Amino acid sequence: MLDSLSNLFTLEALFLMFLGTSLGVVVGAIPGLTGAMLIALSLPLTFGMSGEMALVLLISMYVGTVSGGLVTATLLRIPGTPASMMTTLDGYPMAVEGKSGRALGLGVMASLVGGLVSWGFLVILSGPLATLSLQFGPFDFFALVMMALILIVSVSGESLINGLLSGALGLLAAMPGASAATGQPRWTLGFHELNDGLKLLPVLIGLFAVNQVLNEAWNLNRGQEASILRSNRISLSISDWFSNRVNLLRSSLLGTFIGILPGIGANIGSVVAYSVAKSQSSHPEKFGTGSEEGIIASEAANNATVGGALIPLIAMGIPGSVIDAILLGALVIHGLQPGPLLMEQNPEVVHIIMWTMLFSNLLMFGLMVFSIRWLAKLASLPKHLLIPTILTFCVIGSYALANRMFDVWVMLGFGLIGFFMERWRIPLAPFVIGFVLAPIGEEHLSEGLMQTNGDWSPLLTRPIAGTLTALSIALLFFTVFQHYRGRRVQAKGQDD
Amino acid sequence: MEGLNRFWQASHSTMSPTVNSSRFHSTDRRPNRNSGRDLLKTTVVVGLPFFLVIHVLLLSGCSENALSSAADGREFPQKAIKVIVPFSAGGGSDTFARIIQQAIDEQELLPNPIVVINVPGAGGTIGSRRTKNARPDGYTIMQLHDGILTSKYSGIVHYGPEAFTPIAATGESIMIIGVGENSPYQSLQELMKDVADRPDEVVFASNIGAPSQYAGLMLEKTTPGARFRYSQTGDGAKRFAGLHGGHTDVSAFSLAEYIQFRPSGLKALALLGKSRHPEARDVPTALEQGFDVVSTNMIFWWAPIGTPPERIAVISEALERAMQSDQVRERLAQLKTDPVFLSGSELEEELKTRSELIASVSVRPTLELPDFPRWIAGAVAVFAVLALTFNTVGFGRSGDQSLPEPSNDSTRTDFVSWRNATLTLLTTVVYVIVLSMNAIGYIPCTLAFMIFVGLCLSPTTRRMLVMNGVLALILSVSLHLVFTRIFVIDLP
Repeated sequence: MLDSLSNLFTLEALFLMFLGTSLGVVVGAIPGLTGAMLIALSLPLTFGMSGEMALVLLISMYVGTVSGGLVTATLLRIPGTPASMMTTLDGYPMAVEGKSGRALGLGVMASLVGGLVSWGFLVILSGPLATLSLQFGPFDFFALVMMALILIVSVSGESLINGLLSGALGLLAAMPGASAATGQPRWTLGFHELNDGLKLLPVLIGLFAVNQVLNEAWNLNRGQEASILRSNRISLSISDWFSNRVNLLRSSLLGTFIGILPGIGANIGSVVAYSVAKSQSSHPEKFGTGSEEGIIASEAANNATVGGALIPLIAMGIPGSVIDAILLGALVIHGLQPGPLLMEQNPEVVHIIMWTMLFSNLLMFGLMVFSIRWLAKLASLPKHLLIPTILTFCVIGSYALANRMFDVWVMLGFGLIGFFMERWRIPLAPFVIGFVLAPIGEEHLSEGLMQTNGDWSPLLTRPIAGTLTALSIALLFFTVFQHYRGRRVQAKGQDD
Repeated sequence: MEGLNRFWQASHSTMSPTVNSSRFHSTDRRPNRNSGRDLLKTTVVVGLPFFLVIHVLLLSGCSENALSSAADGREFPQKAIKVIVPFSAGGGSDTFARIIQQAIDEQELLPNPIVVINVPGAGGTIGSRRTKNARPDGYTIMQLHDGILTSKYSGIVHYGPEAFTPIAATGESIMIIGVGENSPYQSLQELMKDVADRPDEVVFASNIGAPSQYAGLMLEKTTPGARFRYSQTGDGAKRFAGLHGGHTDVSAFSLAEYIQFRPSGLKALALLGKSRHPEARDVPTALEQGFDVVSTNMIFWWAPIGTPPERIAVISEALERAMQSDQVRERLAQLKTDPVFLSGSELEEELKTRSELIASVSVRPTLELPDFPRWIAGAVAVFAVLALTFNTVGFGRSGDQSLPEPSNDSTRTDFVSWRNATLTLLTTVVYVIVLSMNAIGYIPCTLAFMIFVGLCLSPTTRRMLVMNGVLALILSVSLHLVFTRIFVIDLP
C-alpha cells in the first residue's frame, strides 16, 4: 500500500487534492450548493484525466463537502449540507454566546476524528463489513428507520408534542410524488412538477436558509446581532481530544456503520449519533442550547459516513450514497470495475482511494484550522450584504438541482413555512428528519411487504429487525422518561 | 463568498488579483470613516464595476459577432442544442450523453456544441414532459431509453414515443436474468419450472414499471402458469444486494451491471440478447434455452413533434458520426454498451417492434399496500389536536433559544420588522418570477435583485450602495460564468 503513495506525491495529485478539498469545503459551506451537485457536475471535467487523478479530485471533494457544512451551520444557523443539520442545534447557540471559534474548532476536530476512524475501517475491514451490510433486508432497514424516527423525540426541544407534530408534518410533506411501491404519482394536486415529489434540498434550504434570512431581516432593527460579532480564534487544546474521546469514538463508529448501509447515508448518521450522545450524556438538558458534545457527535458522525459509504463501493461495487453512485460512474468511465476484483486487478486504484481519503481529511483539518479566523468573520458581514448573497445562492442552488424553477418555488414556500413554524414554537429539526426518513422507510416497508405478500411478522422475527424494533421501543421509553425528568429538574430549579 | 472567490481563481485565472483583494476589503472591513486609505479604496471600488461592465460587454459583443458570422449561412444549428437527460447527473444515461457531447464537441461535428441538461425525476417523466412541451425548433432534444415505452404502458404518464419525433437510436445494452451465487437455480429451465410449480412465490426484484420488470413479465409469458412475485427494489445495485443477501430470488440486470457484480457473486442464468455476447461468452441466451425472450435497452434521441425534418437530419448525422468515432466506441465498450446506430425507417421499425412487445405484456396490479399517506395524515391530525389542546403551539415567543425574544415590543419595531421581512421575501419572489420569464438575463436580474434587497435593509449611503453594487456585480457575473461555462447548467 505504501508503494502507491508515490503516485499521490506528484505535483498534479497534490494540486488536485488541494483543489478538491478546498472547493469541497467551500461548496459544502454555501447553503444551496451540495457535494452531490459539485461532484456530479465535475465528473465530465475528469474525462480527460487518468482514472487515478479523477478519483483523487472527486474523493477529496467528497471529504471537503461533508466537512464544510459545519461552518455556515454554526455561524449562520444554515446547514450548508443536509448532513450538518444537527450541528445547527448546538453550533449556532454557541456562536450566539460568542464562542464561534470554539464551536468551529470542536467541529473541525470531530470531523477529523470521524474521517480517520472510518478510514481505518475502510482500510482494514472493508470486505467483511460489506458482506455483513448485505444481510440487512428490507424489514431490517425499516426497523432502523423506525429507530431513527423515534429519535425525533430526543430533538424535540422543550415540547414533546410539538416535536412529534413537526416530525409527522415532515413525513406528510414527503408523501406527494411517485409512490415508493409502484412509481405511480399521488397527491400531486394536478401539478406535473410534483410527480417527483418535494426534493430534500429545496425543502431544507427553505426551512433553514430562507427562514433564517427572513429572521435576520426581521431582527435587523432590533440590534440582536452584536454578540456573534465578537470574532475569536480557534480555541482547541490537546485535552479536548482526550476528554471527549468516548463521544468522539462512539459517534465515529455509529457514523461509519450507518454509512455502510446502502441508502441510509450521512444525514441519518449524524441524527443517530447526536441522539445517542444525548442519551449517554451527563448533561442531556444542554443539548440544543449550545452543547459541545452535540457538535462533536454530529460532526464526527457525518464525516465518518464518508468512509463507511465507500466500504460497500470498494468491496462489492454497491454505492452507499448518492455521491458514491457518481464515484462508481467515474470508476467505470475510466475503465475500472469496482468490486472485489478491483483490489486484485488494480490495487493501485484502491490504494489511491484510501490514501486520498486519509490525506484530504488531514488537509481539510489544516485548511479549516487555519481559515477559521477568517471564516468566523463571515457572520460579521453587514446584513445588507449577507442576506442578498445567501438568497442568490439559494435560488441558483435550488434551480441547478434539476434545472427547473419549481424547486425554487418550493424553497421559498418552505422558507415561509419554516418562519411561521418557529413562531408557532414548532421545531424544525424533527420536520427534516421525518422528511428524510419517510421515503426510505416507505420504500423498504413496501419492498418487504411485497416480498412476503403482505406479512408483517419479519419485523419481529428476523434477528436484525427484531433487535432494532426492541431497541426502538426501549429508546422511546427512555427518551420520554429523560425528557420529563429533565423538565422536572428544571421546574425544581426554578422553584428554588 | 470566499469560496466562490477561490473557485473563481482556480478556474479562471484570467481575472486580475486586484479584483479579489479589493472585494475582500470592501466587504470584510467594518465601516471606518475618515481614513485616507478609504478614499483610495472607494476609488478602486467605484472604478471596478465600470471596468467589469466593460469587460462583460466586450465579451458578449465578441460572442455575438461570432454568432452572426455563423448565422450567415443560415445553417442549423446557430446556437447550442440542449439535450435533456431526464436522469440525474452522474448516472448511466447522463454519462452516455456526456460521452456523445464530448465527441461532438471535440470533433466539431456540429458548428455549435451541444449542452447536456439534467432534468431528473419520476422515472424520467419530468424531463420527457418538458421536452414534449418544448418549442419544436431542434434546439431542445432529449435522450431517453426504453423507459419512454415502459412509463407509458405502466400508466405513469399518458404519452409514449408517439408524442415525439424520433431522431436516432444509439447504443444498445442487453439484459440478463441473474440470481445469487447460492441460488438453487442453475438454468432458466429450472427457474421457470419452479415458478410454474409455485406461482406467486418466487420473488423477482425489479423496478416496478421499468424495463427490469418487463423482462420478468416477458419470461412469465413463455411458461404457462408461471407468475413471479414482483417486489419494488430499485436500481441494479439494490437488486444485487437483495439477491446476495437472500432477500429476493431472481432479478434482471443490464450486461454492464452483471459484469460489475459478477465477481461479488452474481450468477447469470440467461442473456436476453439474440446471440451470445463477447463480454460474457459463457452465458447462454434465453433463446438457446428454449425461451423466446429478447430484452435489450436502447438509447433513443427524441425531438418534440413538429421539429423540421432537415434539422432532425442534421442532428442524426452528427450522432451517427459521433458513434463511429473510436473515442466513443472505446468508452462505450467500457460501459458494455454495443455501438448500434439506427435512424430513419430502421428506427421506426425498431420502435414499432418494441412498442408491440411491451404492449403484449401487461403489468399486474401488485400487492395492495396499506395507504401510508392516510396513516401519516392521521398522525398529523392527532398531534395537531394534542398540541392545540395543551396549547403548546401558538404565536408568540419561540421556544428555540436561537430566536431572539422580541424586546420591548412597540408597534414601531414590529412594523419595521414585518416590513423588512416581507420586503425581502417579496423581492425574492419578484426576482424568481422575472428569472423564470426569461425576459432579462441572469446577470442584470441578479444585480438588480441584490442591490434592491441591500437598499431595503439598510440606510442608503453612497458607501453602502457601492459595496452592495460591487458584491452584486462580482457575484452575479462569477456565478453565471461558473454555472454556464464550467458546469453547463441551463441558467434562465
